[in-house]
Amino acid sequence: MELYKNFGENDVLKGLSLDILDGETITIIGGSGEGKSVLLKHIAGLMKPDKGTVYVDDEDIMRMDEEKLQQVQKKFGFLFQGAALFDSMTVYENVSFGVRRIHSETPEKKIREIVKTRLELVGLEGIEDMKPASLSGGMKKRVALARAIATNPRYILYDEPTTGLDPIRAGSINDLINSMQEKLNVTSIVVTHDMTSAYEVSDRIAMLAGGRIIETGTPGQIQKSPNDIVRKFIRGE
Amino acid sequence: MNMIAELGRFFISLAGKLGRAGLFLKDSFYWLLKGKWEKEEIMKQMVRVGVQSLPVVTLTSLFTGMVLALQSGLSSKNIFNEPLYVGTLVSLSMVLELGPVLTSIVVAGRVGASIAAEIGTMRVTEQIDALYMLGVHPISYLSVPRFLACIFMVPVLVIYADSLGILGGLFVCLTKLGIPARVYWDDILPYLDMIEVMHGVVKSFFFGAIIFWVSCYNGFFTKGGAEGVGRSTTMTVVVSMVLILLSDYFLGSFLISIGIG
Repeated sequence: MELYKNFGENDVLKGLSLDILDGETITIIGGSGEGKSVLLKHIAGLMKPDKGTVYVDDEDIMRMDEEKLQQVQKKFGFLFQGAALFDSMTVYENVSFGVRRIHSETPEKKIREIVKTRLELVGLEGIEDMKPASLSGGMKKRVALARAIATNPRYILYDEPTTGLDPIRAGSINDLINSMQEKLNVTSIVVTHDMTSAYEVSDRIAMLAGGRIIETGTPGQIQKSPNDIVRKFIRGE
Repeated sequence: MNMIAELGRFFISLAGKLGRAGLFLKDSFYWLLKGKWEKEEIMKQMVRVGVQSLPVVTLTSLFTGMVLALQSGLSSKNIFNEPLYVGTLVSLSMVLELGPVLTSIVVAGRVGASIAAEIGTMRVTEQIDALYMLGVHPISYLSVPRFLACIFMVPVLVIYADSLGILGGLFVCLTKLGIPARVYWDDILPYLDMIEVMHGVVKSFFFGAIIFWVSCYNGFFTKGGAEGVGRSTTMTVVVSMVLILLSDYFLGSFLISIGIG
C-alpha cells in the first residue's frame, strides 16, 4: 500500500504497508492519534491518501470512479467508533437501511427476518421501534454492528469496538466479533488500543507507530516481541 | 508584509472554498440526472421546506402586505388628499420584490439553517461515512432531495406569499383607509400581468437553488464537532441572505432586459 497521509502539518501515515489475508481477523493496535481510524477509512475508500494506494481483491480502489468504488464499498460492513446510527430513524430502519439499498430486490418480509436475526445475534431483541437517542452507548454499538452485518459483508471493519464500554459489555462485543468470524466467515479488521480485546479476537496483530506498521504477528508473537515500542505499548508502560 | 501574507491566505482559502462549492454543485447535478431518486426522502424534504414553512411565511407576507397598504395609503392621502393606487403599489411590490425576497430570506433562516445543522451533525458523527458503507452516495441521498424541495417549494411559497400580501393589503384598505374592494382590485388587475408574476417566480427558483447550495455545502464540509456545526449554521444564514439580496438585483435587471417583468 505504501500510504502517505497528512492533515495540514501533521503527517499521520508515512509510507504504511499492510497485507490483510482473506478470512483472518487482524487487529491494528497503536496509541491515540497514531492514525488507526485514518487507516481504516483508507481501506474502506472513505479517505484518499496523499500518496500510495489500497488494493481490495487485487483492485486499486484509489483509481476507481465513484460508482465502481461504491460497488466495492458494498462488500464492507463498518462499525464506526461512535456507532454513527441515523438519529432520525428507528432501530429497524437503521438495520434495514443497507439491505434495502444493497440488496434492493429483497422483499419486506425477508428484510424483517434479517433485521430480527441480526438483532438477536447482537443480543437485542424487541427494540426495533426505538430511536437511537433512547439507547445506551453499548446498545448503540451493538445496533451499529447489527446494521453493519445485515448486508452480509465480506469484510467487517471495527473502529474501537470496545471503547467506552464496561468490561462485561466489552467482553460480549469480543464474543460477537469471534462469532461473526465463525458464523459468517468474514475477514475482519479491528482497530483498538484495548489489548484484552486484541488478544481475544485476533489471528494477527499489527502495531502502528510513527505512521508505519512496525510489527505484525500472532497474539503470542506480539506478546513476546523484542521491539521496545511494542513491549511498552502492550504493557501500558 | 504580514498584512499581504494574511490577504494572500484569505484569497487562497476563498478560492479553495469556491472550488469545492463548484465541485459540490457539479456532483449534485450528476446525481440528480442519474435518476436514482429517493422518493420518500424527496417527499419528506418537500414537506419540510414547503408545508412546515407555511406559518412563518403566512405571518411575514400578510403583515408586509398590510403595512405596505397602510404606509402607501397614508402617504398618498397626505400628498393628494386621497389614497391612490394602493392596490397597484401593494401588488407590484409583493409580486416583483417583497414576495420572493422576504419568503426566500425566511426560508433561508428556517430551513437553510436546519439543513446545514442536520447534515453538519451527520458529518461530524460519521453518519455520512456510514451512508457510503451502506450502499448510498450521500449526495444522492441528502443533497438531491433537498435541491428538488428547495427549487420547487420556494416558488410555490412565493406565489402563496404574493397572494396573502395582496389580501393583507385589501384588509387594511377596507378597515383603515376606507377604500372599497372594487377600487382595490381595479387598481391591481390592469397593471398586474402574468409576466410580473413570472418575474418573481423565476427569481424565487434561483433563490431556492441558493438556499440549497449554501446550506448543503456548509453541512457537507462541516469540521470540528459541535462548534463546527454552529459555525456552518451561522455561515449558511448569513451567506444565503447576502447572496439572495445581491443576486436579486442582477437577476432582476437580467429578467427585465429579456422582457420578463
